[in-house]
Amino acid sequence: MDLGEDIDRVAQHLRIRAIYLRAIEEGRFNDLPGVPYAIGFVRSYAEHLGLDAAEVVERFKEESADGLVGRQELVFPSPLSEGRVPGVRLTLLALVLAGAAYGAWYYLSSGTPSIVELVEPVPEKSAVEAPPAPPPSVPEEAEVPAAVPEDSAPATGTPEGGAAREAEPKVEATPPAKPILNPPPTMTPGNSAGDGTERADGLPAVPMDLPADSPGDGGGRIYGQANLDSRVSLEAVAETWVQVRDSDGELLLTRLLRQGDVYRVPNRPGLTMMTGSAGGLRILVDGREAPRLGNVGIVRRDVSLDPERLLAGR
Amino acid sequence: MFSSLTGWLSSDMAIDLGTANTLVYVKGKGVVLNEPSVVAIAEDKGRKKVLAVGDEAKMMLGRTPGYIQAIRPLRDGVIADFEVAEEMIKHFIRKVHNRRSFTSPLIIVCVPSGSTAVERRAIQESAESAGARKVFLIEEPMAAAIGAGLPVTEPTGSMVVDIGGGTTEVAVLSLGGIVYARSVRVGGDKMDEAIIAYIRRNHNLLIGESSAERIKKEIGSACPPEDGEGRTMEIKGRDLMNGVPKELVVSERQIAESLAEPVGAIIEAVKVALEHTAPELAADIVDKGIVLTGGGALLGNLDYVLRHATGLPVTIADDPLSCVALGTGRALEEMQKLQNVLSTMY
Repeated sequence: MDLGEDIDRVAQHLRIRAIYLRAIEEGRFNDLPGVPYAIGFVRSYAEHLGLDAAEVVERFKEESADGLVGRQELVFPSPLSEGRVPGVRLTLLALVLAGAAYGAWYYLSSGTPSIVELVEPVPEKSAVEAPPAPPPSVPEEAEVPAAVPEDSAPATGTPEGGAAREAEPKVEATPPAKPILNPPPTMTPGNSAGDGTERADGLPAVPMDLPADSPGDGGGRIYGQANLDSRVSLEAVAETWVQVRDSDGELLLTRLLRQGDVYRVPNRPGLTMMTGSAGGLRILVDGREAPRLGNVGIVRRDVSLDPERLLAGR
Repeated sequence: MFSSLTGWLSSDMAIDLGTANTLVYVKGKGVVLNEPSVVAIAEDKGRKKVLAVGDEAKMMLGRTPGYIQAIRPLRDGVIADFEVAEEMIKHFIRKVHNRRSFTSPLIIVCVPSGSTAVERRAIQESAESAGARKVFLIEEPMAAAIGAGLPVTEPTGSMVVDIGGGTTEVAVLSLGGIVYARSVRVGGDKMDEAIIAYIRRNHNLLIGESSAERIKKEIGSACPPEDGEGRTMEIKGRDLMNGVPKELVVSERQIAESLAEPVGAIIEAVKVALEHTAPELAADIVDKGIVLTGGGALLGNLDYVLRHATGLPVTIADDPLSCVALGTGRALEEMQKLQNVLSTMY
């Protein structure tokens, strides 16, 4: 389109900046400020040069189809979102973190033995297989006491019973001066070894009193028989779950005492008891019966096993 | 409920309700109607009935018998006759939909930036009475800038001068909003009136509005030719001295002289707008210049006059007559994105 005129002079006349006119001359359409302005500049320039403006503009549109965007995209400035709903990424991150925290907690909490693991395997399992024979004193008693007198003597003499006894960490933990506990009365020679192995694998490390071999006065078993200096005895008059801890919070006993079972509480200060049925326990302090802790079915926690307090009913 | 059902059956529309011409943009179709804003009303047994609208009515303008009135319901960009304007919009809605009933479109109407709240409310109510289910308003300079393709949402100043039939809108836009706008009630109509007055004063010849408009379109110029009389044109009218029809020849120079006053008013409005423009935006405008839209932009040498009066590059938009309609139509097409520029009086 250059007809020999000086671009600067044309720019002065048309008031269009010379760089834009040079961009039009050199075909650098991207350097022009925008489509409507570019078309206007081309039209003015063509008219100034005496060319057919309409035709020149059409040619410009065809040539610049690639270089210039035909339609101006309008993107209005909008204020930053103050949405209260978090974004997808943030939600996912929060879920992952929550999952990781739960996993870590689960892993750490599973490292310590649970209550289920602390509970000793039920020795009555073998007695179920034995023929039910009602005991002479308590005819309505369960099969556990029925098997006790019959199996106790031979069980002590069998090597398997000895092995089972040796496998008992609790037995080893007891003072050597104390009499060695006999194996559970319900053990039979056939399953006592397996029972012992099972205990050796799964026995908790906490020093826990094990059931004694001899039945109590009511036909039940006596736990904590090693506690010779015991002043307090817990006797179950009904099925009662009992947990005894020492002052350090260490478990001494946690089990279900059946009717007639007795637990001789070690003569130590600071012992506490939790029971699932306060009325199911008869508490004897030095042979005297202490006031009941409550009715059957009442849960009591942190009951001090101090003899004087028990006698006082506190 | 009924409105939403009929809305579903209707095509949404954008209307450039201009003083001289009304353009209708239909969503998905583009500008489908461009007719003069004239309504011919016939009085039949005391009841007024619409006889013709648009081109047909314009033919009647100044040539009507006693019982027919050819009315332009808009003056200076705003509604002068509410009922006639309503009838006109109703007619255009029906014409676009090719049926008489069950039409309730969403309509975007543009309004002059200098219009008052009462005038805007009149336009909105008029469109609603014509059967629109929802009416939004858009300011004319914004619509013109969008229609001309200016980068109105960018952080750069754009100046648009929209010379319509009734008003001239001068606005500086940036970041999707109008930074400064000035509306002067000078436009094509005032130019026609100036031509009529000039010919009556200098030639004792009375011509009609239509004739004046034709003269303006054919030999109208914002500045006299450098030498000679320029183009000439034969005009016909009534001689004021002896009252008989008369024909005479007017030149481009004479018409340029007659248009000096309205053109001067437009230049003054642009200068005032530039004076009120912030320096950063003024720098952008110096770089890119002014864009002219509207029918007035087609007046010969107006860009030249403005260029020399302001010292800025002046560009005439690609399709100046349709810019406002196209911009309003784009607001309709991209309503979610451009909702910032739409308003309503309720």
